[in-house]
Amino acid sequence: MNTQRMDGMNSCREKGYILVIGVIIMAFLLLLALPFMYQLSAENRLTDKSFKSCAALSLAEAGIERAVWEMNFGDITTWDGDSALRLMTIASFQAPSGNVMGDIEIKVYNPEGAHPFVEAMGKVPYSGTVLMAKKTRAELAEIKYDPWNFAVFGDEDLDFSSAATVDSYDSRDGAYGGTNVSSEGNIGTNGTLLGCIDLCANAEVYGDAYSGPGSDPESVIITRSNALISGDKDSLTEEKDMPSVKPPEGLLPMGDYSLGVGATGTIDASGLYTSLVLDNNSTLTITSDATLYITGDFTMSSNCQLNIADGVKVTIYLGGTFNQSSNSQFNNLSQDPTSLLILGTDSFNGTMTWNSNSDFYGAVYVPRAHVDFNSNIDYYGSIIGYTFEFNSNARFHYDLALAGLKRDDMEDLPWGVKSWQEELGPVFIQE
Amino acid sequence: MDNKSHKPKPKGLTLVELLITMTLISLVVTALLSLYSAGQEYFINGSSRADVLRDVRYVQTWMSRDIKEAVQVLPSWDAYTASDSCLILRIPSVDGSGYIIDIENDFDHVIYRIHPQISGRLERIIDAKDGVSSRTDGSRFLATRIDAFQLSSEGVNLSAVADFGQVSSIDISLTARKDVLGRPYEETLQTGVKLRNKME
Repeated sequence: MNTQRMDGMNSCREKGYILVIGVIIMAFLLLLALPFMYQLSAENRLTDKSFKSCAALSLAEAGIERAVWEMNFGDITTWDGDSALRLMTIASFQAPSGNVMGDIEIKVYNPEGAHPFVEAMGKVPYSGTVLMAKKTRAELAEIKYDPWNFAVFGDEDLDFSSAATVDSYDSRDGAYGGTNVSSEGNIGTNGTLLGCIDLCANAEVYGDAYSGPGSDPESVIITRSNALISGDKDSLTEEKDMPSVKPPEGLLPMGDYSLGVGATGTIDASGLYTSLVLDNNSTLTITSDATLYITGDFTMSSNCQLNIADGVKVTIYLGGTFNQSSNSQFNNLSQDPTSLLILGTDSFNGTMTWNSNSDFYGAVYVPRAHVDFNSNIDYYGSIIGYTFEFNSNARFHYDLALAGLKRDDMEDLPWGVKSWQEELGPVFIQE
Repeated sequence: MDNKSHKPKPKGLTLVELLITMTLISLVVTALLSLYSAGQEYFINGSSRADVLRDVRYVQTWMSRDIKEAVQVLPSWDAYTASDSCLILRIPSVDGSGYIIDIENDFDHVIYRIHPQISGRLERIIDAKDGVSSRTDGSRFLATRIDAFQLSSEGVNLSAVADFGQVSSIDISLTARKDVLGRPYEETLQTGVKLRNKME
């Protein structure tokens, strides 16, 4: 009996011994594994935090984009809030893969003002009820418009029924001529119909010619006998905007301005004129930087002169008519096309007739007017209108300096980001 | 007879048992050691890569943020000249709440460069507009293991850029390196960042 009991005890002791060894080995392995697990966990946490921070920033940026879209194409008045502050929350924003990324909170301060201010916060779930948030801010402003990125551009037809030539130069590099002549005198139209650009009778374009978007340039741009386009015929990738000109505000009303036959006069300040009439042989000199808004007739009779003093910058807004008789002169004495800008408002929608015989330095943007060009002059600058008829042998020299000349005095310009900012570091908030 | 039949078994292990046990233990220990060694190598690899990656990511985060906020990249500022490894940014000054004060008129300057005397140190220097900006002048090292820092814009090295006024994006190539037990660990991150506040 005793022997049997002893055998049984030995058997039990052997089993316990194996168990202890097993536990020791497991503990040893666990000790080895623990630091790795800890490190792995730390790396995972860092990666997770980094990923969520990126996701929150992307959501915040999407919020800014949404606000800009809403300002341009949507209706922000449908958002919560009032004219001082509009709010919108996009809950459970989904990535294209279908994964829910988080929420976006968008606030637009002063949405009806000149400079709306957008704050967008992206929030992603972090841990439990804690959210990680990133905030971006942006001040919006209307994107300035560059009207003069073509030598000649018409919303519809351009008819070169004369031997006019178009080329380019850069007034920043000095006067036209010699090495300062290039082949970037591009012309174009938004028109897509057959023959919208019609070059005949030896007309020469040293640059590219563009037809309206989606059209066949070969059928829209017709080059007849001896006409030349040195560059390519192509279609625009998108229609060139022709926004309306916003008439200037706050100008001092000056009534009618008229110079009689042979009279001389000066203008040295900005003003709102109901008409400006220069009779035969009269001379008007603009002596200081000025903005002139002529709501009625702008008439230059035969042999009159409109001088713009050297170094003076003048912007003329036209709201009525423009008639220029033969031998009248538009003398921009600085010979800098960027210093004389002529802009036509929506009411300037008749025919703008050019009969001057003096060289012209300036940029013209008359998006609703038909331009009838009869002057045999050198035209330095750019001209943008609704339709064109070139009947003279004028030589257009596009000034490349005008390409970057942007204007903010246009109607319905799209909103864009003027200043952008990312707030430092993510913040953690309770859900 | 009874005594003979109940002769106690000799205590201890036989030589064969001992040898088998020792062989088994040595096999287990060898396996454990190789496991440990592989684990340690894996751990060193992982943590070293993580270290250098963290370095470049940290620098990249700061630089991306500043470049996005910048209005202009400058060819020179104060004693600094832009090069393939020196970036000079003009960024809008901010008020005490961190808001941009006047993006058209008030600017601070931020310079990123490899420190000329201490190799591998990538320095961020701030020159704030006195009396306007709430940023404070100073410099700090963002990373200490930078092996290569290359700046370019639209495929042109920054030192070869002719007109900095036209620079509207910056491409950064950043390499961090760390030597552990004589073995190099190197990570390179490349990114292109657009100046969102670039003045027209």
